[in-house]
Amino acid sequence: MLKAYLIKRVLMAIPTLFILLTIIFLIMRVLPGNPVAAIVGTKAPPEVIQSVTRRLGLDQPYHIQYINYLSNLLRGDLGRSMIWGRRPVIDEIMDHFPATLELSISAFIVSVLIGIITGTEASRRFRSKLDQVFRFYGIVTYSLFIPWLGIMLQLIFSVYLKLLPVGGRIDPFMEPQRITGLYLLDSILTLNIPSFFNALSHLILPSITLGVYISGVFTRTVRSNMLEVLRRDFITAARARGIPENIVIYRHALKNAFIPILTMMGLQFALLLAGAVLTETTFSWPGMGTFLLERIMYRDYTTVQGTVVFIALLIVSISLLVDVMYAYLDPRIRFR
Amino acid sequence: MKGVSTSRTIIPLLRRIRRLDVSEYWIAITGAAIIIIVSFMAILAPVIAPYDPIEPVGGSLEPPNTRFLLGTDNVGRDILSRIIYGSRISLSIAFLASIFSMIIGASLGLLSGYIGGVFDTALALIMDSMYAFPSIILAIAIAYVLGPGILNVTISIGIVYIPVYFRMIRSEVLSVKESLYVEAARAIGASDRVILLKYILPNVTASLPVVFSLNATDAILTEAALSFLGLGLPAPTPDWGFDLRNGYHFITAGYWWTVTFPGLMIIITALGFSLFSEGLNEILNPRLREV
Amino acid sequence: MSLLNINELKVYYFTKRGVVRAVDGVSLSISRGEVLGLVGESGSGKSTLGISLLGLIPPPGRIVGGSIVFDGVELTKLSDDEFAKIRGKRISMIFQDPMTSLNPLMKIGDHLMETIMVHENVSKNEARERSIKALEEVGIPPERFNDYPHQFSGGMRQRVMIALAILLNPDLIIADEPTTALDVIVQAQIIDLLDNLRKRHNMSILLISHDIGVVSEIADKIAVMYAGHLVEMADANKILEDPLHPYTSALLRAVPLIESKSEKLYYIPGSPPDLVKPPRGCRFHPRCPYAKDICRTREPRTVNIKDHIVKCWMYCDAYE
Repeated sequence: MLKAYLIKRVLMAIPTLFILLTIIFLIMRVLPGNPVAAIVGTKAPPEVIQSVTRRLGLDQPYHIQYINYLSNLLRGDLGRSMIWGRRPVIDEIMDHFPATLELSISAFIVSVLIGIITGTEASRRFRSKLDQVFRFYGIVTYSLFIPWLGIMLQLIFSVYLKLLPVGGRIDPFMEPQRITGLYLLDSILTLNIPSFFNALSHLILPSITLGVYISGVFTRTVRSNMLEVLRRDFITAARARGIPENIVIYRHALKNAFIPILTMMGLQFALLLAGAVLTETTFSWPGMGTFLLERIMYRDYTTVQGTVVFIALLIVSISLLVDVMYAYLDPRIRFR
Repeated sequence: MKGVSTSRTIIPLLRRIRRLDVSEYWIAITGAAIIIIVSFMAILAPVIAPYDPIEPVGGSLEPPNTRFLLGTDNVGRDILSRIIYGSRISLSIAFLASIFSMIIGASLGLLSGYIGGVFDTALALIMDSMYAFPSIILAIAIAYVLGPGILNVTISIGIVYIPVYFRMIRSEVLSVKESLYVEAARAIGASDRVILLKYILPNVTASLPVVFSLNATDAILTEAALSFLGLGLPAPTPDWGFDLRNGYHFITAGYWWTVTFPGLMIIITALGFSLFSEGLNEILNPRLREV
Repeated sequence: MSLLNINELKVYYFTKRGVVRAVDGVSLSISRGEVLGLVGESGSGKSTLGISLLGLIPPPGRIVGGSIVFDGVELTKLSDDEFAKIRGKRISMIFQDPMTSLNPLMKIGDHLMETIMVHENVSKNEARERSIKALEEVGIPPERFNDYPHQFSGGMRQRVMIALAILLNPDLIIADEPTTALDVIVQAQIIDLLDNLRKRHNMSILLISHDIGVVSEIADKIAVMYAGHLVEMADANKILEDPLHPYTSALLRAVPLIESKSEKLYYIPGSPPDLVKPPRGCRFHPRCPYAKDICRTREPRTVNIKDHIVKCWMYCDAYE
């Protein structure tokens, strides 16, 4: 029964989340390194040091800090930033999250498309030259250094060909009215066509960069899943009914190969986020990656901690979501 | 990294190697060749590098020419020399970090799998959670806390990959633990330590080279990433990631050689390790075969 | 006027271990409306023969010689696209394992509709109506049109496969072990169904099975294959009453009858040969109680004794 599976899955997610939060706590508080000194400098007067320490809650014994940390999180309180306007961390994160989301989704689409086409065509030509090439492709993308790929694309398309912008998310004064924070969606919703194309032109290179990086895993997974599915009887049976080969491959086989790929996609989300950090930095994309790094540079302790916690939450929720989707899409589980 | 299984004894392995043909081992050979070449580059750096990598020896941002084969950076340093010396940093950090991860991860995996019980369940849960988290972000967080410097970078990268070894070794131990020869050893009164070291350990380590190599790939990329983000080594250490970051500022003016070559080195070296790992895996654990 | 004429067909599999001569010079024919039962052990080549008629031999196999003429068309020379027009429409196939022969993610109604719409230019509604009618013909109520395969029992799934096979009124149905995965009672139902359908639509059936009992229920002619060769073929009652080839007699003796007393089950000693290196001479000689010297050295000629075809040295001397 789907409901039982759902409940079980949610219950399983809780300890994982808990452990991640604890690890983050340990890293931020217990590892050597003095966050206070990093914020105010080593030469600051003792009162300043004391007040900052107290504000950060670092003067309490560890277990009290831990309890405060967890109880704050349960209330959804990620703390306040240490710098500038001292805004709540959650607000600052939400300013930057849509940008990362938009980049991730586009990159994801790119990678799935590449992965499906290369993986499927490789499986059709098992052990041929093309198959070897695609396998090689999978290995190469794994070894790719994202900033280099991004920079090369920038050199070619922005500096030499001058076709696409070199970085940023949109040109100044071109942002659409904010509804979701996703520029493509917002510009469509507000019928702001120039905005749409401007945002799109900025999105192309980063999406391709990140998309290519992730696609290697998909190529491999699609290929091996397809190889397994193509061996099955119902594929021969479909051919025996005169169904054209392309329909057999892309409708019958792929649909069956796809469901395990979905779970793969969930697992790849962590990889996606990791890649997003580097991609954002390379393209000056104002997402959570650049945000995190910027705050690290500024030694904004609470924000760094809050952002990492947010990322952990995100990962656990996404993998939960993917598992649920998997269960829903496989009629054998749904109707059981 | 997931899905790697062991072939248990050496003899079928040798038999298999003898029956291979080129299409099956070219991947491993290419990878090994790259690793060897880059290693030589690192070892022989003082001999083969034309200039001192730290001192300015030419004009600022000179394009590739006969004096400086790969051009110079903004300070006037020879890029070729910096690349050659950079291999020392990358390879040593990658190796050290991987060995660090392997020793800690594998030992923990061995112990945890063998002891079992609550300890094992708890540790496995912790490692799984770490494994699920993006490695770069974790490395960034650790590097942030520890500060810059070669040792800290090595430790950051090392910590991040402990779960990989842990999971692999632990699952191997779990499957070997219940097998007959371990039962037999216990029956004749062998101590736990002996069982672990003489019976279990040799049988679970067969796929370590594959994982180690893959891990080295990640280590190289993570180290370059940390440097690129400014969290790695201080200037003016010759480091590929650092050079990439440095040269990045000048690409809009068309100075492509400052970024292209360091980046290529990162990728080629990483590729060497991943090809070797993939090739080795193909040899040891052949995939689906035709009828 | 025969509908299907197979002449000296050779199908080999080129594997790493060697060349498997799965079908090694088989000739047979089927007339319109006729049921030919093709019997043999596993490894005899009967399934390969069936699948060659649709051009779906899996790699590393292929046709290396001979011809297959279907209604005047030489099938061995067709391209895959041309073949696709024939598959499902003029020749269709029922597979052995109903559990795995249907796409688990597709409703069975969609299976049927897709087949129609691939071959004919009709509206979705018409396709749906014809599909529902086909299901009714095989005994599946229309309410189940939108169900998924896993919601059906094995027997019902096989009925769906049969519905798919008769959907476009083909001239020939190849039934490859259609009852092997089913229990005995369902077996009888399926065979009955096949018989009724072919009479109603005047279809020919190539019924492939290792079970000569199943085949004898509805076959007009029976052909026996062993190790890639066709060893005997004749009208069904002639084969059953008066088998000529030793292998055929052995097969018939091996069928346990309910009436027989509690004696030991008869089985044919030895095992089927390795088709990479088949025995010299007659491939059956190592297991044949009548084997003579000539059987061990020379492959027997195929002779035709008043429409009774047999490939055995015992009959060559007397009649040739």
